[in-house]
Amino acid sequence: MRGFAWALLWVALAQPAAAQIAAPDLSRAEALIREGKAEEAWQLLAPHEPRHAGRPAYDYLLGTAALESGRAALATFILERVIVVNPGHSAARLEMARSYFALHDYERAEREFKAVLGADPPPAIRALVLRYLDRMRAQAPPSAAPALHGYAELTLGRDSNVNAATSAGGVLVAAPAAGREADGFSALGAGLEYSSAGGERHTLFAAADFAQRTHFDLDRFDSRAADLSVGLQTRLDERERLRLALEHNEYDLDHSRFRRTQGAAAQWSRELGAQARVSLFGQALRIRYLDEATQSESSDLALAGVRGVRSLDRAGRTLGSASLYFGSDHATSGRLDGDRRLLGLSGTLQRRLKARLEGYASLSIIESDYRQQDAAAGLAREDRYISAELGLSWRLRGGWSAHPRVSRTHNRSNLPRAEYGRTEASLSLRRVWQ
Amino acid sequence: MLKLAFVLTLVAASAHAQDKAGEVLFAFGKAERIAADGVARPLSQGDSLHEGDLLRTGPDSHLQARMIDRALIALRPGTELRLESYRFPGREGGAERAFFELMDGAFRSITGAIGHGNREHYRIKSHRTVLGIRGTDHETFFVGGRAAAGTYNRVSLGGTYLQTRSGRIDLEPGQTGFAALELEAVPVLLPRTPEFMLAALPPAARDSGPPVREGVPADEERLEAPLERSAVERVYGTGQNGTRSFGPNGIRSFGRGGRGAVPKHGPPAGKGKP
Repeated sequence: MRGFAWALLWVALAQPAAAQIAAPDLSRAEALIREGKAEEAWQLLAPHEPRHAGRPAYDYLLGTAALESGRAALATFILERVIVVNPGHSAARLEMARSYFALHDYERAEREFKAVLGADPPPAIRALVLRYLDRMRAQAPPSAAPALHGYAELTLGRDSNVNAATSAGGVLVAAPAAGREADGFSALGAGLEYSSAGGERHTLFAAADFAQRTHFDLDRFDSRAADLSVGLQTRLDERERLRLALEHNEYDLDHSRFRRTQGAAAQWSRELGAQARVSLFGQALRIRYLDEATQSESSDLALAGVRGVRSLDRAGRTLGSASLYFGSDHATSGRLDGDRRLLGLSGTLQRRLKARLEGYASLSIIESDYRQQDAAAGLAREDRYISAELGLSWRLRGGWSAHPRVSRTHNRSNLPRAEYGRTEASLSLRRVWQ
Repeated sequence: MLKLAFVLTLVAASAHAQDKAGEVLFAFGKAERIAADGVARPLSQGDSLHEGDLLRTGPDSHLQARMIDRALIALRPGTELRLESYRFPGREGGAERAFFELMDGAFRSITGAIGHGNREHYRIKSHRTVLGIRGTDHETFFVGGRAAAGTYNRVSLGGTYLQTRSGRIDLEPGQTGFAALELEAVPVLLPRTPEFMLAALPPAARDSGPPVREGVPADEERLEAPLERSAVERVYGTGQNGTRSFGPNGIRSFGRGGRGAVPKHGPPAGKGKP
C-alpha cells in the first residue's frame, strides 16, 4: 500500500507543469486586449502555449496580444498557426498583416492586407486596410515625384528675462538694460520644405523657415528670424545615411539687422537593429553680429559629436537619446573673452503617453572655457550653460497639433557679467501640410 | 522493488532528457521524426525532439517546435531538416550548439539563447551553402530541381550571412539572399523576395473565421505615429521638422533660450538692445 502511494506521488510529480495550469481564460484575455492591456493578456495566455498552440481561438488572441505588446516577430510565428489551420481566418490575416507592417516587412504585409481586402471585409476594415496600403506606398523608397511639406504655427508665451539681463546688467552695451524684464509674447512661424529624389539613393532637399516674435510690452525686443537650408541625403545602404546641408540664418532685433549665421552640417547615421541609431555629426558656422554694439561677439564655430538614439521598450513607446559633442569657437572680431572651447552633453527622453499624445523632457549642458583673461577679474571666463525643457505634443485631427512647453535656462559663470537665467513657457498651435 | 523501478525510471528519463533538443508546439498534417534507429515516428504536440533527429513534413504540412534554448523553428510543407547538433547546458559557455542541416524545403527560425554571444555556435548547412546569424528571425529555403535551384534566405529581424566556398554576403532585415546550387556559386542579394517565399503560408480562402475584433479600426497609433519608418525617428521630430534636426537635438533649440553653443534666435547674454 505504501509502495502504491509512492507510485501515485511519482506519477503526480512527473506531470509536466503545463498540465497543472488551468485552461486559459480566453474571454478575459480578449477583454484585456480590448482595454489596451496587451501585456497582461500576453502574460495570461503565454504559459498555455505548449498545450494550446494550434487552437485558432487561442492562437488568434495570443498572436494579437503578442503584436499589441510589442512582440511582432512572435506574433507572426503564432498567427501562422491560425492561418495554417484556417486559411479563411481574415481576422488573423489582418493581425498578421499588421505584424509584418510593424516589422517593416512591407512585401508580406501588402500580401496579407490584400488577402483581407479580397475577403470583402466591412467598410471600416476596408478603409483601415487601404490606409495601411497608402502608408506603405508613402514609405517606399524615394520616388521620382517631388514632395512639398509645410507648416504654420502660432505661439503664445511668457519669458521671464526677455532682455537676457545678466546678474551684473549689460555692462558692454552703450545703454545697458537695467535688469531682467519679464513679458508675454506671441510668435508666428511658418516653413516649407521641398524634396526630390535624385536617383535611387539620393534625395535633394531645400527648406525655408520664418519666425517672428512680438512682445506685449517690450517691443524693442521684438525679433524676426529666417532660416534657409539646402542639402543632400544619401542612402549608403539599407541602414546607413549621410546628410549634408548648407544653412543660412538671418536674425533681426528691434526691426534692424542683428546677426547673420552661415554654415555647413554633415551627419552620418547608422541604424542598429530596429530600435537604435547612432550618428556622427559635424557643423561649421560663421556667426557675424551686424549691430555695431555687439559685432565684437562674432565668431567661427566648429562642432563635432556623436549621438545615440534608442527605444527603451519593445513597443517603441519610450525613446532615449544622448549626444556628446565638442567645439571650438574662434572669436573673429576681438571678443572680450577671446576664443572658446566647449563641451556639450544633452539627453532627451520621449514617451508616447497616448495614441496622439507624446511627452518629452530634455536636458542640455555646455561647458565653455574662454581663453582671454578678464582684465578686471584677473581670470578667464568659464561658463556652464544648463537648459532643461518639458513639453507635450498633442496631435489633433486634420494636421493640427498643440505643443505646450516650459523651459528653464541658466548660464553659470565665474564672471557675474555673464551669468543669467531665464524661464519660458509657451503654447504653440501648429498646422502641417504634407 | 517499486523503489528500484522508480529510481531506474528517473535515471532513464534523465539520460533521455540530456539529448533533448526541443519540443513540438504544433504539428499539422504529416510531420515525423526519424531518429538514429532509422524508424520514422509521427510527431504531435508535446513530443520531444532530439539531437540527430531528421524532421520531415509532408505536403501541406507544418511543424513548429520550441527548442531548449527558447528558440522557435517552423518547418514548411515538404521540408527535411536535420538537428545535426543541438545542445544547451543552460547558459552560453562554449558548449552550446545549434547546427541544422536543411536538406529540402524551408524553415523559419527565431533564435533563442544560442548564438546570442557566440554566433559561430549557430549554423545552418544547406547543400553547398552555410548560413550563419547576426540576429534573430530569418527564413531559409532550399529549392532543388529547377532553374534557380539553391538556398534562399530572407531576414526579418537582425541579420544573417550566406556563405559558399566562393563568397559571402551579409543580409539585413527585409533582404533576401540566394546561393545557387552550382559549384563556385557566389551568393547574391536578390532585388525582390521570390514569390514562392512570400507564399509559404496557405493562400487566403473565403472568410470563415470570427469577425475582426473591435478596436482594430482605431489603429491611429500605427498609422499616424511619426515612428513608422523607424522607432528612432521620433526624437528627431521634436523640432519643427525632423529633416532639419542636424546634430544634437538641442542645437536647433539653443536659439530659443539663447546663449548656448549656437545662439540662433537671440542676442548674447546681457547684450539685448536697450
